[in-house]
Amino acid sequence: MKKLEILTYPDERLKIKSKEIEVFDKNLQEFIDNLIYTMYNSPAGVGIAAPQVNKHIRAIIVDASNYKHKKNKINHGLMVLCNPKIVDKDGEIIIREGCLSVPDYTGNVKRYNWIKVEAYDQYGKLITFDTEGFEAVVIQHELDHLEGKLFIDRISSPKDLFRRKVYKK
Amino acid sequence: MKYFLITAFGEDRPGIVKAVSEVLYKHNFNIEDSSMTRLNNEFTIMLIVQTDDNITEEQLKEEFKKIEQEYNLNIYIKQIPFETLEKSKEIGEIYSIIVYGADKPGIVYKVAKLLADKGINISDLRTEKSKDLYVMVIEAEFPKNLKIEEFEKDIDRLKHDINVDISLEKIETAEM
Repeated sequence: MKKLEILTYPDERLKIKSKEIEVFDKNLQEFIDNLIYTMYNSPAGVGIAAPQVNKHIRAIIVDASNYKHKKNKINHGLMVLCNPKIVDKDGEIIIREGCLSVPDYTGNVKRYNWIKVEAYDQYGKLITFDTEGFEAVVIQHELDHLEGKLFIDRISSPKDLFRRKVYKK
Repeated sequence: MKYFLITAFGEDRPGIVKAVSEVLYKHNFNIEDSSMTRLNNEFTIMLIVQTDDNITEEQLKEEFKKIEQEYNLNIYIKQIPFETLEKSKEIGEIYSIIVYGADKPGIVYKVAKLLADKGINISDLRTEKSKDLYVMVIEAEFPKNLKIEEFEKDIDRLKHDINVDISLEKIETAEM
């Protein structure tokens, strides 16, 4: 497995809308393995979307289980979600989000607190589940990547955007 | 490369940001950091700017003279030595502290005093006041050796002393 290169803003390729996956083959599964590996090898990485590594297909990886957050109450561990769709939603939640593709900033973004999701795993099997809180936020953040949107697009006031004043190596 | 701190303030009206940034643009300045906001009816600007031109503090002051008069602004300019600029430094955890309660004298002072006594460094502080409700939002850097459980007790004592609510939250960010 190898760590894939993550695109960072202002790379225009982050703004491309991703295409539906039609074939669930070995190539896809191999790519997914590398995407998972890339997420786990990024500090505090809890989610990643295929377009972040310059592959514009509708696939996201989420794993909220290792992250301590007071709004992280339920989670489903590692999930591979292909062609994910939010089919129902409710409530609202604001969490400080960071993005592997926007390394210098973090931001408070308003999201749905509860969502019901329909997706396929990397083998083409249908998955449906609902979740709330932190995991729901991560999924919505990754879904935005599939649409070519970044969390900065969803900031509602300048007070919600923060420059990282701590430098990470 | 030179860095300057510029502050400018005056009665609010359209065009203040345009006037100040126009002078900077004409002289190839980069705005490195800024806070521009209206406090009551005064518009206030604080900037850190950078240029490759060999311009002095005095020359820069001259450049701003015209808009100082035209927009009735007070402008202050200070060159910042390279050594005092933000460096890649390691700091402790970042916390958000929210204080709110009925307005009364001393809220800012008493909270700030507790923070100073503990060696906590404020990086951002804003206050809002509406009728009787006073709200203060602080972002601060906590030293690595600070014991949070003890600090929470100090906060509890302060809450009772000045009769306000205080919430303390560690700011954590997950990467997505």
